[in-house]
Amino acid sequence: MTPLRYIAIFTAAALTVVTIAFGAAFSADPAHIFRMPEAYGQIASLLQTGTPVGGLESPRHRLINRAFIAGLSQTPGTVILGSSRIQPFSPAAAGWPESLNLAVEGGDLGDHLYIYGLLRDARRIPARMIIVVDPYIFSPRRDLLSRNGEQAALRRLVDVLGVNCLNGTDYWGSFAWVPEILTLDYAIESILVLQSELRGRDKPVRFAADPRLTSTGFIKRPDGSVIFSREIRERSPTYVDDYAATVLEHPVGRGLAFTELDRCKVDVFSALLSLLKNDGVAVTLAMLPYHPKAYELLQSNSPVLDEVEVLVADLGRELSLPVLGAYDPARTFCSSREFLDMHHPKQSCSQRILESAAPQDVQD
Amino acid sequence: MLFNSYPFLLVFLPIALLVVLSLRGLGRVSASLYALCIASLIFYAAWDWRFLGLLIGSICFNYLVVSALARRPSRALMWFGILVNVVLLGFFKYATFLGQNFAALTGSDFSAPTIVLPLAISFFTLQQISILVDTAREPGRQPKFRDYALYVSFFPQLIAGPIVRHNELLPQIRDLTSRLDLTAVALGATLFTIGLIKKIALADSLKPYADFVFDTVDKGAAAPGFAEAWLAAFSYHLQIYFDFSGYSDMAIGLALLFGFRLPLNFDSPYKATNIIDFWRQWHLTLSRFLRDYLYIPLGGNRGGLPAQSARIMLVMLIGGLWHGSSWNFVIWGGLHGLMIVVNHLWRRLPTQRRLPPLASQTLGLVLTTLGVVLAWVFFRSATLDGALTMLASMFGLHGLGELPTGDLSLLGLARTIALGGVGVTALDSNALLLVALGCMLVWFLPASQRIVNYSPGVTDATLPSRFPVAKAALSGAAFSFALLALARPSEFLYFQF
Repeated sequence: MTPLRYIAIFTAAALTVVTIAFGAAFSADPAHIFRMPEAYGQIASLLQTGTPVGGLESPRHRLINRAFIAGLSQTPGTVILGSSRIQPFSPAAAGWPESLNLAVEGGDLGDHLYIYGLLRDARRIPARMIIVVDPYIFSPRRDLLSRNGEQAALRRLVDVLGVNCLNGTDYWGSFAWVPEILTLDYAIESILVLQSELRGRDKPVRFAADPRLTSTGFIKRPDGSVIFSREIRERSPTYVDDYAATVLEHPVGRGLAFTELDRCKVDVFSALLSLLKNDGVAVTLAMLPYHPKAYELLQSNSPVLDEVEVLVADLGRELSLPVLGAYDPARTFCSSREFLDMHHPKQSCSQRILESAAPQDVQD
Repeated sequence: MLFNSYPFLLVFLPIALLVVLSLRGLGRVSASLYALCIASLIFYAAWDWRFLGLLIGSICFNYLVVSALARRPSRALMWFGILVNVVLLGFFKYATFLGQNFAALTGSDFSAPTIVLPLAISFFTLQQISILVDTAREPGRQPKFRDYALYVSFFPQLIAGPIVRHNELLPQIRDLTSRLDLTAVALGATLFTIGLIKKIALADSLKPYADFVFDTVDKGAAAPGFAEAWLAAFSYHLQIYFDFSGYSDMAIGLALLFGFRLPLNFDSPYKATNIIDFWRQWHLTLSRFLRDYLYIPLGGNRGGLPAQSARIMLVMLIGGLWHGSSWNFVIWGGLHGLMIVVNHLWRRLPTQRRLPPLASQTLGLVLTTLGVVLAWVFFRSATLDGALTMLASMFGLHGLGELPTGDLSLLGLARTIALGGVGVTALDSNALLLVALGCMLVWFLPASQRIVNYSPGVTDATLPSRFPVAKAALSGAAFSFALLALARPSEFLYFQF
């Protein structure tokens, strides 16, 4: 074989792999870089006209938020960031005007950065922000962003934060600085999505404009909050108590089975708070309790709940930010009847904790 | 700028190749060498421009001494040159270590300043010591400054070797012609890709498993059980091999792209059936340096076994210390010295011949592997306490522990390898499969240079005669695979030395 032919075969094989990877990424587009599913835009439009959306099954709130923020006609007064634990809290039901709950399912530190980055990019920086701090966001075992995609917006904000520890590579789900479509991680995810579609497993997001029409699925209110499905809402107290007792075997408990806080994530969080202050945002830090039985078990298993409480208190003191709530249900006066499961408090519990953070005109 | 990074692969290397090979193709050989020299300095400056002056200063100083020695050999001048190099290396690499030990010995509160170790200083210092000694021994042709500067700074071998001798590279630089050797380019691309895959798919996938246990132990947390400790130790055993031999393959491959042939650094060391052979196959260019510039000048094999053993111990202790300013490295070197001495004693015993060859070789492989793995514990551990805890666990003093849980899944293993260990946070069942796969590769596959038919001494390269189409296609596909997987570049272990 001539060396030229050898090099030609080498090059052709190399280009074939890149083409397959790009083709899979383009076809599947799991992070919606090329195409946003129409459904999310429609959901966001309905919410913006004040119409609740029901029948949601496996929705990606990040994508709803992305479309929602892009279409905001005015800057919100108060924005709530957090995970599904705060999603049921409705600012509108609490009588908070011009407030949005932009918490997302599995909300991680990267999600807080990402959503604030979207608000910043859209020049919709709110006057006030309540960050509901989940202890797992400081876990050394999680990537900064728990899902693929949306890295560009995240990266932009991280660049603004200028936290040196992020210059390493450990914190990036998969993408450092190359366009995220051309990474092996993304190619694999794309191929898995295509495989799932071929097997007919990937159901498109379903929704209905009238929540009354839906007996299953979630309902998203125009203020961004979520009403969980009927199956969750109507659980009996005994069921919830028994369920809470399984917390250590549940992903909630396993996600808290770490012993040391990730110092880099602590630095990133601290830098985010400083940035918010510099941007003129009045920040409140909040912590939501766990179901009493779950809390007892989590406490006996890991010291991180206490450590994060101390950390949040310290950050609040350092940056002069109000800190509300605790992970201990006894300290927040939330009974076991005020939980949907082991870690999702009902509106009554969340509202009691966040009461003092209500917009000024409501408090008056 | 790492070899396994986008800035290097997509920007630096294409530009450097284009400029250097174009100049050469146009018949401007001298200009192409200057261009390669400048590219190498840019490569070094991209790490930390502050130390560029140190590299250039070292090149200039040593060039002056080498020139003087070439004109008139002088042992005093040679020793002066060696002393300056050793003092420079000692200052940057060992001053803090010596200060800390001084404070510990005297009980004083002397606080040693932390000195940043300039990248590659250990390697370019050894390389220049070798030319000083060789020139003093056999003064010959004085190299041109351009050639000498390129010999020291040539970027494929600058950061972590191979430690190239002047008579291996300088003649190639001097005799370079404008002929573009496409066969060398083809072999270089393949060898580079093999190294890249070793690093990205294997070393990086094994790293989290080793880190998980070693880092926990170094922090003083709970001691691992027997199974976890061995799994972590074997993970590191394989990680360091794939990491460093991968780097060496990349370095040799890169040099080939530019038309130069570097010496081999690895020759399937984990197939060695005794520790003496291990050191003939592991980090060959360092072993060669230690042998030729330390062991033989100290007396070599002369004076009987006790004297020879003492020399071996001294050389291996220094070799250990060369890797880093920590007692753990010294102990690692000492352990290897001890094993080599025992090996020499064993060879003098008649009993070894009683075993059948296959049994003898298998036993030798097992014992050598166990010895090397145990010694790596000191090399990997950040603290002496951590190393001792790990060893105690490996000898079962902390219980049997548990084997990783989870299903053994080839798909899971493939994903771990494809993602280079991304997302690994515990000793899961993939660790077992990965270690087993790594052992199979190091025991049964030929060394990279044999796969691509590379030999540093052969000037007229030939393409692999067996399955050339498959090798070209596989390496091309693997190159793209590696390129896609590069979103998380990670440093090579030997950069710290």
